Amino acid sequence: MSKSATDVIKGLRKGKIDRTAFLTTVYSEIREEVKSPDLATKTNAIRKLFILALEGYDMEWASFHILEVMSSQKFSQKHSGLLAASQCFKPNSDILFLATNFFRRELVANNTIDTCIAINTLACIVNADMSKELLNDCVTLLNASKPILRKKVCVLFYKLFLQYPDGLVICFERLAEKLRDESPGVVMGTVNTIYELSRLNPAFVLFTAQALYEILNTTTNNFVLIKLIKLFVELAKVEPRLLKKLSGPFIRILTSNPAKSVEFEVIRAICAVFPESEDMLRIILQKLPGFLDSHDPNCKFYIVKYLGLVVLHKLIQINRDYAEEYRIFIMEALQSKDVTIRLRALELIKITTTNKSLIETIKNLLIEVEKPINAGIKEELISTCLYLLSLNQYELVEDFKWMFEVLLQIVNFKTSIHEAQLSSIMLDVVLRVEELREEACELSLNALEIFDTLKSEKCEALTALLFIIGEFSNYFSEGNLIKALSLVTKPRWELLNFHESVYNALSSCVFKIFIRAKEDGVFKACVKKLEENSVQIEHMESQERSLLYLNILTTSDKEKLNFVLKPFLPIHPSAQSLIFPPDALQQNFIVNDDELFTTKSDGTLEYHYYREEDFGDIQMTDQEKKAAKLKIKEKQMQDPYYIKPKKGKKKKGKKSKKLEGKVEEIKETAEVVKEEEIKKPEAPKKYSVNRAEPLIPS
Amino acid sequence: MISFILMVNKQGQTRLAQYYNYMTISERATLEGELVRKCLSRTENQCSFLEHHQYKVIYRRYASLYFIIGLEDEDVNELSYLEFIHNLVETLDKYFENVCELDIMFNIEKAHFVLDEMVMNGSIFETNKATILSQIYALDKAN
Repeated sequence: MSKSATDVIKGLRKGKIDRTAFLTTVYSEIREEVKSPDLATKTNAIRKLFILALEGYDMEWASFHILEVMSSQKFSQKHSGLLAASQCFKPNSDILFLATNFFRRELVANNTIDTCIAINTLACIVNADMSKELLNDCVTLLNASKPILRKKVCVLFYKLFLQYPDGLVICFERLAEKLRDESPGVVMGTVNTIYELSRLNPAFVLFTAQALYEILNTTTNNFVLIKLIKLFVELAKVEPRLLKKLSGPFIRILTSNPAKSVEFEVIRAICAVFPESEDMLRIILQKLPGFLDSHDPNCKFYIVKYLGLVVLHKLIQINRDYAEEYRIFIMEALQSKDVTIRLRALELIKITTTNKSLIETIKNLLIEVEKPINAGIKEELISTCLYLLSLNQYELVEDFKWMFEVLLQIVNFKTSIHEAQLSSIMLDVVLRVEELREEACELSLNALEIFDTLKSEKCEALTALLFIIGEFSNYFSEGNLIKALSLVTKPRWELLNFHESVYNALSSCVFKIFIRAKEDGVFKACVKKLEENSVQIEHMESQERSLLYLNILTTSDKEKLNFVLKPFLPIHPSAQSLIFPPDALQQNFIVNDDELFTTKSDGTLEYHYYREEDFGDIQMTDQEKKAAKLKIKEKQMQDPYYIKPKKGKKKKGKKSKKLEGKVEEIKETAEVVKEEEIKKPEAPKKYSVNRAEPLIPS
Repeated sequence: MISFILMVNKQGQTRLAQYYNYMTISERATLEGELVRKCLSRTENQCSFLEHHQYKVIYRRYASLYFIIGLEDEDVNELSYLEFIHNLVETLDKYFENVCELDIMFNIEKAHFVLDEMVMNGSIFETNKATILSQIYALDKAN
């Protein structure tokens, strides 16, 4: 006697059984049962399989059996089959070919309820081919006498159109007629479909705007209202004339509708389409405290507060002045117990922080990081800090020394995700801001004293700090220099097995310190350290570098190494184009040639490093050569972009507040170069109501 | 557009799962497990809205069962979906008369039917209890 589905459920509920064993038995029973020719047994098996699917068992192997069950005349069997099909038929499986005819029969059948359940399943599984075949039958159903069928088929159309976009052109007008149907259910279904279509291609559905407007003013169903409001926002993007007509209804809904969800939707819509309207914004501001501080018994406090924060976000994007009033509120939200609200508060902080409030904000954020309650969002908190600091190339930061201290503080939090960003910000800011270098070196030196605690997967922070003290060690006093040297020559570096890049940075650092120091004692220490490095460290690259530096130190002349003392500075990206290439450079030289080598007759390869044709053609006498050179020089003199080489030329960096004077000079030349390359932005595409336009624009 | 509607109990057992975008069985199982864990870790006094990977999740607990809706859209009106969950529960309640988890377990096909009357293709298209219930009474007669 085989189990029924109910027996399976009861079996699972029994306390002391082993679930997995029970389920495996049932599963093997099903595999046998489902092959039986008797439909009732088969259906039973499918029903049990459906329950097992909730537990994670795969149903797909039974697809053919499910199809057989679906085709049964008995309603209960058909229903079980269809339900199973909706759960497990994959979008591209072959079984759908077989199912198409079945669905076609169902759609034209006289039995309402059969058609209903068929449509339910069809909505889940329909694919492109089925869609094409069944489209006509669906259109016929649009005129069915029962409203339930009309309603269902209206909603089904969206899926059909997604799968088979060409069908849209043929059928859409028929669908749009349903907007004026007498049954509200049908209208709601059509509105849903039109809304989804408008998200893909608003111009296409624009002609229904009139009918939709009437519904907007007459419907009492809040769900429909919300969908319509969203729809009109989409439509207003392509048809600005709609805005005039919308302001009336929006205000009416905002002031009269009691439902908070509708209020929220209208506010969101207004922020999207009417950002300048003073009246609307005034009403919204009146409503805002209702959201942020609500004591409505129907709506839980936190939910409404969350919505309030979303509204605030939109308002602030429109107009930053609102930020001031609500600053305290945002900080409070940051400390709330609810993670979702905290995340929203962080987003608000990102857009409301100004350079005056930056220090306060970062301080608060860092305090929050240390609290255990925030373990889940520690990463988001630190991301926000880094985002604010580096926003618009450090626009908000006024005191760079404070900023560097903050960065070092964050290094101590040891979050591995942010290390790369953190180290790049540190290096960037030290390179660009000249005044910071001295303090940065000292701070880095102090931070490095506990270098063993800074170990992480890629040790980017450590590498950055080593680079800073090496590169800018000319800012160190004698005492600090010795201190730095003793720090980097500690044997502990090798023992701790850091990432390879740390050892590379370490050897460069040692090398650079020596160049600055110019003392013999220092020389010996550096040499010794490099020797150790070249032997003790595992990484090949690091060993090689140490050996290289060692050789340079021991064999070359001290004076010749002074090139290391030249500062390492950032240059503007357009600087390269300002340099005119020397005439000796062959501009037409083809370096990468497809026929770089040929196979000779005996199978060996012959490599060509150059092609004979590229050389030797230009035969010029000395006279001609001189004349050509003069011509080029003249051209250079007249060229406004050509920078004449000066003695002691320094490369200049990007804008920093204290270096504005020097920057002006570069800015002028750079901008002239840029203007030529800036193309005009394309004019916005004008939409015409072209029904033949594809639904999903390619 | 709704991506999925789930009814999961506090022990993590799924009682009903309707997906509007195809996902494999293993993906579904992982998703359901993770979501219920997240919901369980939240208290009564917190927002009913979550973010999980690319989904916005709205949930509500009724006795031992969590009703979970997941959406993939950008601008979601969370409160309206919360109201929809309540509407769904009220409809089930009216049909099953004081619905409880067991009712859904033993009558899973009917529960699916009620849900299919309200949501199709990920859109809510019927919220009127009377209309929905008249359909399901007709279904009972046909059986």
